[in-house]
Order: sequence, then C-alpha cells, then structure tokens
Amino acid sequence: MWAKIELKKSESEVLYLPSSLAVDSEKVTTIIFGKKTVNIEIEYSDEFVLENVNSFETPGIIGLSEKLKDALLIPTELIYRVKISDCSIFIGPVIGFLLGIHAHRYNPRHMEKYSDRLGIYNKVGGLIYAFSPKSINWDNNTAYGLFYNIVTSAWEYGCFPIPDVIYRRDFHSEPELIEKLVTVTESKLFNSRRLSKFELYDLFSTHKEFLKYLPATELSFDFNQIKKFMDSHPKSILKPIDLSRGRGICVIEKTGAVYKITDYRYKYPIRSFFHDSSSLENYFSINQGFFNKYLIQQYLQLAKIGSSLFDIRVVMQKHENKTWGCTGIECRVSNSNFHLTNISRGGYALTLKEALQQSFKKDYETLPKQIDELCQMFCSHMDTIDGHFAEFGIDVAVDINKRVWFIEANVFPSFKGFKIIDAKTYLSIRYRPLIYALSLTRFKENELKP
Amino acid sequence: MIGILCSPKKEKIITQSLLNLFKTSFKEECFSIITFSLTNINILEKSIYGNLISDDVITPLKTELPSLVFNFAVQWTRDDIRKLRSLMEVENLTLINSANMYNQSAIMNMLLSNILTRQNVLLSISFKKENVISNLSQIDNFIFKPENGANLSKLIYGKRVDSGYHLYDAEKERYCKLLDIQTEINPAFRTGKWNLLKAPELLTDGKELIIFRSHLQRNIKKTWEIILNIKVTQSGTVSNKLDEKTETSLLRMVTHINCFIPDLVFCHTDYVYSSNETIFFLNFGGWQNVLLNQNQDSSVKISLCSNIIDYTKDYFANEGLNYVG
Repeated sequence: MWAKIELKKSESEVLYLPSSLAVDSEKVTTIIFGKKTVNIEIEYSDEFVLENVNSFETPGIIGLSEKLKDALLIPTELIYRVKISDCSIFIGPVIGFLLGIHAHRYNPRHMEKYSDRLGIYNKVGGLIYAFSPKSINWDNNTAYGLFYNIVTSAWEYGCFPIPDVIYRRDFHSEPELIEKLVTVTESKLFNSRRLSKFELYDLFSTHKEFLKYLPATELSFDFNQIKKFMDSHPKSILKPIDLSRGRGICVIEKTGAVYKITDYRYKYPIRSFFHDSSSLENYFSINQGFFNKYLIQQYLQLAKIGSSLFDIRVVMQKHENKTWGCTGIECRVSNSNFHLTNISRGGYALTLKEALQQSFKKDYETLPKQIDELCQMFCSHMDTIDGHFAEFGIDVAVDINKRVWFIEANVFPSFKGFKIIDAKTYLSIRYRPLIYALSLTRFKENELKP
Repeated sequence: MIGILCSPKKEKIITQSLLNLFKTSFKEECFSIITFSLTNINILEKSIYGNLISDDVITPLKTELPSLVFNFAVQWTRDDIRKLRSLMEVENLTLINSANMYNQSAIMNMLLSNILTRQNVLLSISFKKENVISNLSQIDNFIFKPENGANLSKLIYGKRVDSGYHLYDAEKERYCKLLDIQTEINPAFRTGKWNLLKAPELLTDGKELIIFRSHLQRNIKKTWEIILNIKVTQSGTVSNKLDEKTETSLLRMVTHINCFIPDLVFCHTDYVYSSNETIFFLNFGGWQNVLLNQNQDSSVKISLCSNIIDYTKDYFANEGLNYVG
C-alpha cells in the first residue's frame, strides 16, 4: 500500500488510519520505520482514505501525530509503502547510501551525482538517504545525513533511523563500524567489502575452472623475486594492490639483457632503459614503493584495435530474485600505443560487438559467451565467501590469440563509458542497486523493471 | 606523539608558540608534539618531516606519521585538498578538524534542518547576479556574502531607506539609490558564488555592521564551550560571558553542525544581532591560528592546549597505548 503522510497535533504518539483498515490493524501496537520502533495508539478516521487504485501516483493518506513524527524521524514530504503485519505496522522502505569518512564534503551539491539514481523513485518509494559512518549515533540507532526530497528534487539534511538496507559506496571506513552496520541491518548491507587485486587472485587461484582466466601473478616483495618472475615472463606489469583505473602501474620488459621500464605513476609516462641487472636493481632500490602493496603480473599480449589496446568492463548486478545478471558491457580503447585503457586518460568507449568486430574482423562470435561464463563464475564464487555483494565491475581482456583473461573486479565500478555510448543502459545500471535494495526489505514486489 | 598539521607559512610561528606554552604551562606533561605541513608528509611511507617539540627544544626530525593529528591548516589548492583526503584515508589515523573551511550554504542548510537552529538562519534567496534589482525589490534589508569561506571583508549589508539603501561593507557605510544598486554591487560579484540573504534590521554602529565572532571548542565529554568572543568589525574582545540567549543559540548551532561534521573539535562562528537582539548566523569556520598568536590572552591558549592534551590522553587510553614520549 502506498501512502502519503498528514500531520496532526496530539500530545501522544498516534497513528491515524483509514477506517477501512480497522480489521487488518486491530492488533497493531508498534510502528517500525527503518531501525526505529515506536509504541503507538491507533485512531481510525474517515478523514484518511485509501484510493481505490492505490499506487505511487495515487497514494492513500495516513496521519501521524507530530510527536510520533518526531519519534520516528520520518520526513513527511515523501511517499511511503505501508505494510501491516500482526502487531506492527511498517513504513518504508528506508534505504541508505553509505558514504565515506569525509563527512564535511557531503552536502547537497556533492549529492547531485546520486540524483540520477532516483529516477526509479516511483518504483521504490520511501526514505532514501546518504550518510557517513562517522555520523551515526549508536545510542539511538540514528544517523545524520542527506535525504532525497522528491518534492523539491534536492538533497536535504536531517537525522534519520538507521536504514533497513545499506548500499555501500565507499571503502575507507573503519571495519568495526561496517561490522556494526552489518549486524544492525541483519546483513542487509551490500557491497560490504572490497577485496584487493591480490586477495581476489588468491581467492580464485584455488578455483579449478577459473584458474585458466588468471594471468600469472605474485605479490611483489623484493628485487630478486621480480627478476625471477621476469625470467618466466619477459614482459610483466607492476600494479598497486589497492588502486584501480590504471593508477600507479609500471610495465617492465626484458629484451636480451636490456630492461625497459615504463612508469605510469606520473602524469606523463617515464621510460627508462637498464643495460644490466645491477642497474635495474639500483632502480628498484630507489623505488622501494614497488615492494609495498604491489603485485607483479604477466603482461598480456592484448588484442588491439588499430594500434590501441582495449579492455572490457562487464557490469554484473544482482536482480531482485538474488541471481546475478550482466547489465552492461563496455569496451574501453586506449589512446594509441598507450598501455592504459582508461577513458579518464583520453581513451574512448565502444560496445563489445564493435570492439570485437574491429579487432578480430571474424571468428570472434564465441567470445561474448566465454566472457559471460567467466563473469557468472566469478559472481557465483563471490557469493560463497564472507560478505554481501550485489554489484561488480569486472575487467576482462582478450589477447591476440582470442583467449579471455580476468584482470580485476571492482565493487565500486565507474560507468563513464555507458553514459556516452548508451544512456539507457547507464540509467538502468544506476537504478539496479535501489531495486535490489527494495527486494531485501519487507516491501519487496514480485517484479520490478527499471 | 601529538601531530599538529600547519600551513607551511605558519609552521614556524605555531611551533614556537606551542613550545612557549608547553615550556611554561604544561611542564609536567610528558608529551612530544610534532608540527609539520602537508608538503612534508609522505603518505605511502607514512612518514613526516617536522619539528619535534620536546624537552624545551625544537628539533627538526623525520619520523613516522602520528596516529592522532590536529589540523591547524586550511587547504586551498586542489592538490593539497586531494592529499589531505588521502591522509584521512590512512588506516589507524585520526584527524581532528579535517577541514577548517566550509561551504556556507551547506552549513546554513544543516542549520535549517533543525527546528531550533532554523530560527537563527537568514532566509536565502536565489538571485541573478546581473539583475539583483528585481530580487531586492521584494525585500527590505539584505546581506550579500560569498558562498565559500568566511571572508567578512567581502560581506555587504543593505538597509532599506525610502528610495534606496544604506550599504555597509568593507568600505564602510554609504548611501545608494535603488537604481544604482547593480552598479554598486557588481565589483563584488567578479569572483565566486554569492548568497543573497533576506535580513531584518541589523545592529550597526552607524558606520559598520557589527559582526561578532565566537571561538568554541568541544571537550572530551562532547560538550561545546565558548573560549573567546570578539567583535570582528571593531578591534577588541567582548566579554566572554555572553547573554544567555546568545550563548544558548550558539551552542545549539555548533552542536547541530557537529552532528554532520563529527571530527570537529575547534570552530568559530560569525553572527550579527537584529534590532530585537536575536542572533543570526553569518559564517562558520574551523580552527584559526589567531588563537595561538603571541598577543592572544594566555588563558585562551592554555584552555586550547589543555583540550588538546585531554583528547590525546583519551585517544591513547582508548587505543590502549602509552601516550608518553
């Protein structure tokens, strides 16, 4: 049932319901909004009505005393779903975007980038707000943050109950706080953790079927190990464990006794040549950072479009029936002769079909199926480990021999390419987490299409 | 070890000031303090190069990043802001007052979200820079102020008189006809975003709008206290005992802002009085180095340092660590 809220003056915590709900709600003693439960009195009145055709567009009206509104911390401008069950009446859903630790930055302007996700609000309803784990008051299970006011189409500050479901949007918070939120939401905090590149590699290296998609990878810890790795893989890449989007990488290539290093840690790549291993050792002794949270990986001879490399980002998201599905694939093509395929570094985006066609011209038809299998296998396995996941951006590559490789997976993927090549897919990806969040609440519907 | 993040320009002065304070008033406290600037932090290495204040001397030193850092600086450039964000994300590091400059519209919106603090906020009016006359025709008195930062020298208060305005700004009071208002205000609009606020008649001394500033700090019991009051537009301090209504309003505002910005421990608020003695919020900012100036009242400096020590003791006690040394 959809409902709008009307406020009434009263000294008690009173819920005013249409008379037509008197039978359904006769045992109700509490109202629950997010993680807030309040004991209530109920009064029935013909002043409040349920529309014959009850929908988001034509909601019914229920009344709340001002005191009850204050106790529930409920914004009254929104349109809610209402469910009656035994002794309680539920209003919601309450869905939270869990932001990071930079609480002073979270203002209405910052939140504008989330607004396009609210295009699905008429299918979700309720209170959708963003908050920092730092602004939670654990004594009363509330959080200070910004909610989306559908009436003004703006983000507004307020204090709200901890949400029913939380969509994690940042990974720099204290693990203890996240653990507390997982507990309080009964594990309805999704994208609950982020695994580093090496943790992922480690996790999947024991997965027999997935192993074929993994390039040789080791944690980088000293020069001798790098040198030994280079003996088996004359072209390798050093990648920081914690960074994505090609930040901090370095490519090493051995030709005969000569080593060539292309360092992408700076705005413009720096190329250096070393004619023996002692000068290479000297380079690494100066650049000790490569032995701190870096991994070394076999460099893949990736397929090219013209002289440009490309990789493939597959967006996998959970549907409301809790199965994984691919909701978008984009191919990112690098600037010519550039090792990074990032759009943010001047590359461009293509559809998978366009990219494969332009790269291989023919005999590429089985590749999309292989990519899909890889991604499904990845997501299914992630569901078996500790954590709650509902969204991955999986980076996949195809080499010149048409072999498919797993590069990395990100729980906080960017979809910039889709915005350019397919706005409809972009929005559908943006909406999906809210639909999934709704499916985790008691307000779930049988079928929702973004 | 207590870390104090300073702006490069103020590093020397703050270091000296802290040395003087700790040499005289906090002799018995076995604390080491290290002051440093953002430039001298290596986030990857988790190391800093700074000035160690210990045993009555200042020693330049490269050492590990302290786990508790008080930010006494404002970061202006994009690179510095980015670096500060990275610093905040360092594991097991607590940064107090991670920002000291705020978007004033955001602060006003925070205050508007509370039924009590809302009373101290002037109504913001959307306006077009190139056609302020049409916006001003609907209101009597107004304030124009920059959206970012708390630079009061740019603030303009307009008080409606029959056929125009008395304008109060950095160039003091002057009369301006209604039709000339655009020309008068245009020079200010050259930079940045501005807010237009509808104001009641505000307290002036005939020449200037009287603006007050209160500096506050939060103690470890999470209670805010006022440590210094000054008149911004006229030199000199005001009695530290504000009237009860003002004090209640100020504490309520800052407590509410703190709910949204939890790492705040030091802040200041600028405000004006209406003719019926209600205070109205103007600006909000974080730490100000003026608090440690040589000519600052020593009781203020001692109060600040005591609070820093309390936080440090509390922090290390919670972490189960030894704070000495």
